[in-house]
Amino acid sequence: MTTTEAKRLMAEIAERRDLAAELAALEGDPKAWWQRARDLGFRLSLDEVEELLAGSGGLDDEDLEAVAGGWEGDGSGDDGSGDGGG
Amino acid sequence: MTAAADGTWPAIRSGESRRGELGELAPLLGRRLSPALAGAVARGKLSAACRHLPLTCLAALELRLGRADRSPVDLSVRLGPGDAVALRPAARPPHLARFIDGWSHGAWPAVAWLWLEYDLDQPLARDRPPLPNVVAALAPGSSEPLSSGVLDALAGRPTPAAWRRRLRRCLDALPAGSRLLYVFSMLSRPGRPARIEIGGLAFDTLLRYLERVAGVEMARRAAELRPLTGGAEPHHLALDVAEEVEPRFGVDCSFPRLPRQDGRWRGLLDGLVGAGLCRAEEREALLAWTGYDTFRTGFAHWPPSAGLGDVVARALSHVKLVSLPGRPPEAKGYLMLRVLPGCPSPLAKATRQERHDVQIC
Repeated sequence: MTTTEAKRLMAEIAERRDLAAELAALEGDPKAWWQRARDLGFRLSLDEVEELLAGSGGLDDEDLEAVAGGWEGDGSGDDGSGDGGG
Repeated sequence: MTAAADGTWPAIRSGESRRGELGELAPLLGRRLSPALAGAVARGKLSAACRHLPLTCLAALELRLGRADRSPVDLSVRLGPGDAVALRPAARPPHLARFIDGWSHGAWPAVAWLWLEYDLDQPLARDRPPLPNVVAALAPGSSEPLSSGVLDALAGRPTPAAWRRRLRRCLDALPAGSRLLYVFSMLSRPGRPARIEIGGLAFDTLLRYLERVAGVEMARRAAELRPLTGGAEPHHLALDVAEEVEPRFGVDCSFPRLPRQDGRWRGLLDGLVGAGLCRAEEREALLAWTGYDTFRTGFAHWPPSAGLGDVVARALSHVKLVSLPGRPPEAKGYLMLRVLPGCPSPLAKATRQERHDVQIC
């Protein structure tokens, strides 16, 4: 869902450590993030902000075990897809 | 694939690698890698080496444990064919560039994956990473590396006849249930022997095999390692082979489940601490490594080329015990790091419709 606005916000965060720290303090509060983003002029919806923060559903233990097993010769412990990037 | 016109190493070719470079993980790595495991110099070298490599690679950090000084941390990356296309190995050395080029286009079917292993204990040039050792992970059931020519191709020269005879003896003696996993060409260490790594060895089998191919003294030294393995089985065994089997060897130890699920990890590391091969703070840092970051937990350090739904996974992989004659064994820890494509949060999916009701923009 990475919209232009979301990418613009990410770029701003990457540029401004003070903003990163400020938003980090709001972690877990999408509405506060959304309000701050709007104050800064980013026209993001709450839906976008929540998706931005939710990001991924994360990994389960089997996923991590597969990464740990990536040294197992033929890569059988890992999908080895080489497609890990975004 | 041809060398860069200016002769410099790598660079991810823009347009070919849509996903950026591994160096983008440096800020997250800096946050997650404990100072107990890597000092400032080691971190700096890691960041520099990562700049030349695709973000999609599985990366492994090799940590020398139990040292009072700030030891270097070495870096290995596993290349899939797609990564190999993105990586531009240029002319360092040309034979490796040719091998990677051919492999990424389907040549060398015996090779499942390639690992590039960077020794970062030397000063780094500004414009190029150090020469890598190259490691071929052999596909199950593939022909072995002597007859297939893989070893010669990796080394860029014919394997000396005396080495071939010794390698043949080692391969012919492989015990049932074991398998040759890797062949190494130690390009960064001229004159060094070839290295092979064998997987699937129970410890008793490993001892018998070593005695058969390398003699009783090496088997005796291996037996001395047994109390340090924490009961891990099966093992990998790494052997250096030239005219003879060289006296240095390594034994890998790991468990299939994560440290938080399997207390044997802590037992293994406790044993190393007790033997003076690992510092207590290193043990804790190794055990704490496994986990992951999402954009939510790591947004201030998020790799610019990673997607917002991606995950940066970290996992403790294995411990290697290295034996040399006349010296105490050495221990190394291996940490994995990889960007994985994520999936939408189930919560986000479930609440999407409700959130549409309060959407303002």
